[in-house]
Amino acid sequence: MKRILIVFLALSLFFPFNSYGNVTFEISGGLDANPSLRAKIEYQVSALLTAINRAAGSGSVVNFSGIDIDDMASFTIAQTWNNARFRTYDDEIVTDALRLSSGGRLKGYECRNIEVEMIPVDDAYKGNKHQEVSLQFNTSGKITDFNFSMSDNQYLQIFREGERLDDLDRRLQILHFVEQFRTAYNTKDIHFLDAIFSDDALIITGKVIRRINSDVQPRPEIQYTKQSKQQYIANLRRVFARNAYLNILFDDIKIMRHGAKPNFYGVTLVQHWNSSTYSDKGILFLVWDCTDEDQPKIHVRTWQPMETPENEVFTLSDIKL
Amino acid sequence: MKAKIILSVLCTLLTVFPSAGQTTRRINEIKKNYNYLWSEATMETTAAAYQVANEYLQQKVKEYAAEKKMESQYLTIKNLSSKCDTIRQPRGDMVKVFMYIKKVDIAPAAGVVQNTGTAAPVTPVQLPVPVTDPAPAPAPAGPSAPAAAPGRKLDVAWQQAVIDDLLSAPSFAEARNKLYRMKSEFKVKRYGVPAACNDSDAAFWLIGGADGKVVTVLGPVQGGSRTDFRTLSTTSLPAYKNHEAMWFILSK
Repeated sequence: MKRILIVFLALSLFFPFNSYGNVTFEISGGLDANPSLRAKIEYQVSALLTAINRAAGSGSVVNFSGIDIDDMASFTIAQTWNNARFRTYDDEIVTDALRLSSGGRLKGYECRNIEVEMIPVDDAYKGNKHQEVSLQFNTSGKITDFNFSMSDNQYLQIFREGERLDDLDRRLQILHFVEQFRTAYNTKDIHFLDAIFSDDALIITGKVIRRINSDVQPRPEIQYTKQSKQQYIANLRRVFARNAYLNILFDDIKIMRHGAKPNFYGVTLVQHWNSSTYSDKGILFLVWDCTDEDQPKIHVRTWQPMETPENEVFTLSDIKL
Repeated sequence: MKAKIILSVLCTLLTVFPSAGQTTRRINEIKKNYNYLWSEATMETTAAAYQVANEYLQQKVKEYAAEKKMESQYLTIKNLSSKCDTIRQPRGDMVKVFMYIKKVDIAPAAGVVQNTGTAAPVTPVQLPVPVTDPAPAPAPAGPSAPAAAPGRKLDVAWQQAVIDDLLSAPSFAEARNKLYRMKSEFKVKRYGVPAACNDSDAAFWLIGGADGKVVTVLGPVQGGSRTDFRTLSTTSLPAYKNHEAMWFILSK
């Protein structure tokens, strides 16, 4: 008996012990001036992460009772749960609270860098086991959004550009929109995707047709297909129906502001598409209209294969707004 | 006897190999300690995580320096690499690097008087910069010149914020230091002494008084007169003929 206890103690001390139980969440900075709001957010996040861990441990759904969370955020978590569960790496998490502003007005707060371990539902999952999530809160401390975050270097790059070009608030907003966009694919949220594209959105997909020519190295020739929003959404419904899971990753994000129309931004990124039946990697270009900051719209979506010559990759200068 | 041996081995291992839980607790204690600035990044490799965490920490140091009214270009972080500690933690197939530094190790450079503006800096010391610096994205096209009728504030908020920042400087020397910082932040395109100004009418002018204070900031000539941003009235540059002055051009 003693030996069993000693071995058990050793295992619990030395081997990584991922949490299936209670999580305590604390904010280290960013809300010092508002201790009551800080306490509320800490309580909400602790309760939510605890509920997630318990659901992961018991194989059940996440129980949101007692947590001040809005429908969109809880829906996103529930949809993710259909494809892959997750749990926190740690039972004690400390992070900063970032202010979210727009036009100088405080809109809420965000806590990022909450590390989770993905627990695939089946062997078909091919995504990263390690992910980071971010939670957003309104000024009352209610959880208003849940997203899987971009990588730290992506966030830093956007932060750096935003400081340099003095539109940091807007760039962080766009980053959030892109994270929502990615989460929508991963949770198969067709309604969100239907709403985010403008009705007259231009959607272009490129396909490589290789030809051997007189050059030493064949130059890829690309054929482009145009779709309407309706065609694209219909195709997406079919993709969602035939794939048990989707794990889309965005990387190498670049954000360019339109010179004459500062509410329009071009976002170029590398999209890694992983699903139960198909995987590919390509260059995605999106034109975001942020005129209505609460309801941004995508007016253009293009996809080009990675082999696309740099001077042929779509940019804002190719689009007439 | 065997149990004693096992216990001894376990105790030895415990002192040598901290568990994952202990590492997390150590990191969290530092995060909650207001005497430290910290950053963290999780990437595919240790080198990548270190680079990102390092840059985040520099950003926090810069913000802390601004909060304490230290001019960042005159900062020296005493032996940054030796005072800045890191903790490495595996995260699945990724690596987390946690970096931290004591706030007491962030101090003005020797020879610089902090916050009085009366002493000129001896040697400005730049904060360490990242090893790789990505090519900057093209600056967006914007209005060709700051737009404002004479006697009014500037229409572009960030440009007006620059003017307000200069006006609030406790001394002309401090305001001149601010111009240096703003140029490194791409808010100010060019600046200099009057003799080096090629187009006086197109420039803003920082005007100092005999008492070493900032008198005002004048805008470019529009409609034959300039804006005095202190009083929001119209004036002209010759009115400040015998004053100390610096000209500057704002970025677009």
